[in-house]
Amino acid sequence: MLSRLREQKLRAIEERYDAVSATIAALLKHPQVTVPAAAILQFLERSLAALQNRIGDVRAQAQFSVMHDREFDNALLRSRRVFDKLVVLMDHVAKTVTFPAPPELRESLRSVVKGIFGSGGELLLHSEPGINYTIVELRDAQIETILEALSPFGRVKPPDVDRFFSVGLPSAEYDQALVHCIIAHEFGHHAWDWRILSKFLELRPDVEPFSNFDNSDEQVLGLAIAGEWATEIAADLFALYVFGPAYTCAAIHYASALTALDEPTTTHPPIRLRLHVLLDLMDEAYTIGQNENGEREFAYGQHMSDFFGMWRPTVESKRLGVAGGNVPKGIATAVLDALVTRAPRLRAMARRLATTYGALYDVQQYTRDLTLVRCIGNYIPPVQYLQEGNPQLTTTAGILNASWEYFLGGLEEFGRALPSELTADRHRLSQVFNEFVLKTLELNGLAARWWATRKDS
Amino acid sequence: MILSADRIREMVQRKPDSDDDWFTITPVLDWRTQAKSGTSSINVRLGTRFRVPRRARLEALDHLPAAPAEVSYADDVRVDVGDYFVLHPRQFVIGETIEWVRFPRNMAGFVSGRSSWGREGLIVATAVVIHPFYAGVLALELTNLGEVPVKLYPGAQVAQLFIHEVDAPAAVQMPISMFMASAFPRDPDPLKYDRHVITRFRLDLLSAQRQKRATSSSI
Repeated sequence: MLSRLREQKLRAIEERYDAVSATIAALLKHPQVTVPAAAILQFLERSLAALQNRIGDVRAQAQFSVMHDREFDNALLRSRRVFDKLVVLMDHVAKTVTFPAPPELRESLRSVVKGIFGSGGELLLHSEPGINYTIVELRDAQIETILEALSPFGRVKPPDVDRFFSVGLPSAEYDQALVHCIIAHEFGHHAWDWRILSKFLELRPDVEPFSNFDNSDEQVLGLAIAGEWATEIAADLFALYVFGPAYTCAAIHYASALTALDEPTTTHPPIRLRLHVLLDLMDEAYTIGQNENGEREFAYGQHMSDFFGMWRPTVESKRLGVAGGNVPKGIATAVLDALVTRAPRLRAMARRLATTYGALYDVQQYTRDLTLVRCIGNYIPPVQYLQEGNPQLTTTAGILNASWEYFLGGLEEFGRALPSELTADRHRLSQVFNEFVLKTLELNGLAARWWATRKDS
Repeated sequence: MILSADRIREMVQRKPDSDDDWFTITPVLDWRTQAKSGTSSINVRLGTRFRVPRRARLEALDHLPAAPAEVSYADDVRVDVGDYFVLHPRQFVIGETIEWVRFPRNMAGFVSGRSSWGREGLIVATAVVIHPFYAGVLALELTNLGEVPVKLYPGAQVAQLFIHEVDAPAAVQMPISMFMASAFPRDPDPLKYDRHVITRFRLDLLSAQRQKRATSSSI
C-alpha cells in the first residue's frame, strides 16, 4: 500500500510524462514536422516510454516491498534528471514548428550539412529571437546525455544520425537566403578540433605574448580570449571552404551593418581582424594567375571583384586595432597581435582541414558557377548548369555564389521586366530577388531529392 | 506549328544563341516520361504550394473599386513531396507547377489538363495561354468537378504544356510580365484595362436607378 504522499509524488510525475507524451504525439502529427524532426520525436517517445516503465517499477517496488523514503526519492530524482533533458530536446523540435524557417531553405541547407558531415549529418532549422545565428549539436550535447542517463533503466535506440544540428536563424532575417551563408560559420565551430587548433597555434602560457603578462589573471584571461577569437576566425575560414566567396560577401554585408569594425568582445574578435584573415585566405585560394604587371589575377566575378577591392584597404594589417568593447585594451591588443602573427598558421590549418572534409567548395566550382549569373539575368532560376546534353544540378553554394555576384551588381536590370509596383522601392525589389533565390533553392533541393530517391528505388 | 516533345527537349538542352532566344523548362525531373517521343507536348508536375480561397471573410470578390478591400481571401498551404492535398468536390484552389519556364520572343504555349485526371473530375487549367517572354512557374487553377474527393500529390504529372512558334516574334524589349518569383501571381487585377469604362456604365446605371426611384416616389 502506498502512502498518500508517495502516491501524490508519483502521480505528479506521471502527469508531467503524460503531458509531454501528448505534446510529442501532437508534434508528430503536425504537418510542418520534417523527417529529421520526426526522428528526434520518435527517440523521445522511446525514451519517455523507458522513463514511464521506470516509474511503473518504482510504484510496484514501493507498493509490494519495503522501500525507504530516501531510496524512493532517489529513484524519482534520477528520473527527473532525464526528464528535464527530454523536454529541452523536445523544445528544439517544437521551435521548428512554432518559429519555422522558410521551407525552401530546409532541403538545401540539409544538403550542405550532409555535404560536410556525410550522410550521418542532419539539420533542424528554426528562427530565433535576436540578431545572431545559433547552433547546438544535439547528438553530443543532448542525445548522448539522455542515453547515458537512461542506461540504468534499459537500452533505448538512438536516432540513426551521427551529427544532429539544431540551427537558429535570426528572426528578422529568417527568409534572407543570401545572408544565410553565415550558417557555414556555425558549422565551422563543429568542424575544427579546438585542442588541435590551440596546440598548433601555440596558445600556451609560456609562449609570447602570454608569457609577457604581469599577472596570472591577465594571462588566463588573455589565453581564454585568444582561444575564443581563434575559434571564431577558424570557423570563418571553414565557412569559406563551404560557401566560397559568397560567405565572405554575407559576412561583410551582415557584420558591417550590425557591428563596429574594431570593437571586440571576450568571445568575438574585432570584425576587421576576422575579415583581414578571411580575405587573405580567400585571395590565396582564388588566385588564378598574374597579369603583365605582376599583380595577382583572381577568379572573382566582376561585381564580387569590385566589392572585395573596395573592402581590401579597410581590412589591411596596418589598420588593425581595438576600440571599445568589453575586453581590457591591453589584453585585447596583445591577443590581436598574437593572432595576426599566427594567421599564416591558421590559414595552413584551414587548407589542411578542407582536404579532410568531402564536397567542399573550390575555385573550379566557383568558376563554373559564375556561368549561372546569365540565367538570373534572364529570370531563369539557376537550378542546373548550362550545358549541352543532360543537364547537371547546381549546388546550394553554386546558387548562392551566382546570386551574390548578380546582387552586388545592383538589381536595376533585374527589375527591368517586373511590374512597376515591384520596383518602386528598393526593399520590395530586393525582396522579389530574395524570393527568386529561395525558389531556386527550393527547386534545386526538390530535384536533388527526386533524383536521389529514384536512384535508390 | 506545335512543337514535338523531341523538339522541345532539343531546344531546352541546347545553349541559346542570344538571351532573347532562350527557352527553358527547369527542372525537368524525368524527360523520358514527361516528354515521350512521338507526342506533341511535355507533361508538367504539380508543385508544393496551394492557394486555398477562404469563404468566411469576404462577401464577394469585387475588382471594380480602384482600391479593393484589404482582406486576404486565400490561405497558402504547402504540401511536401510525399504528402498530399485533398481537393473536395466543387472546391477550387490555385496550384503551381514544379517546372519554371522561360519563353523566348518567338514562342508561346498553352496548358491543358491530362485526360487521365480529367476523367476523375479534375479540371487543371482555365487561364491556359503563355505569351512570349513569360518567365515563372505556371499557375494551375484546380477544380474538382467529380463526385468524390481527389488526392493531389506534388510531383504528379497533372497537366501538359503545348508549345508553338509565333509567326511575328515579339519585340526585343521585354514586356511587363506577370513574373512569379513567389510562385503565385501577385493580386491579379482582371479589370485593369476596362475599369474606367465599366465604372462609367455603373455610375450611369446607379444614376438612372436613383432617378427612377425619385420619379416613382413623387407619383
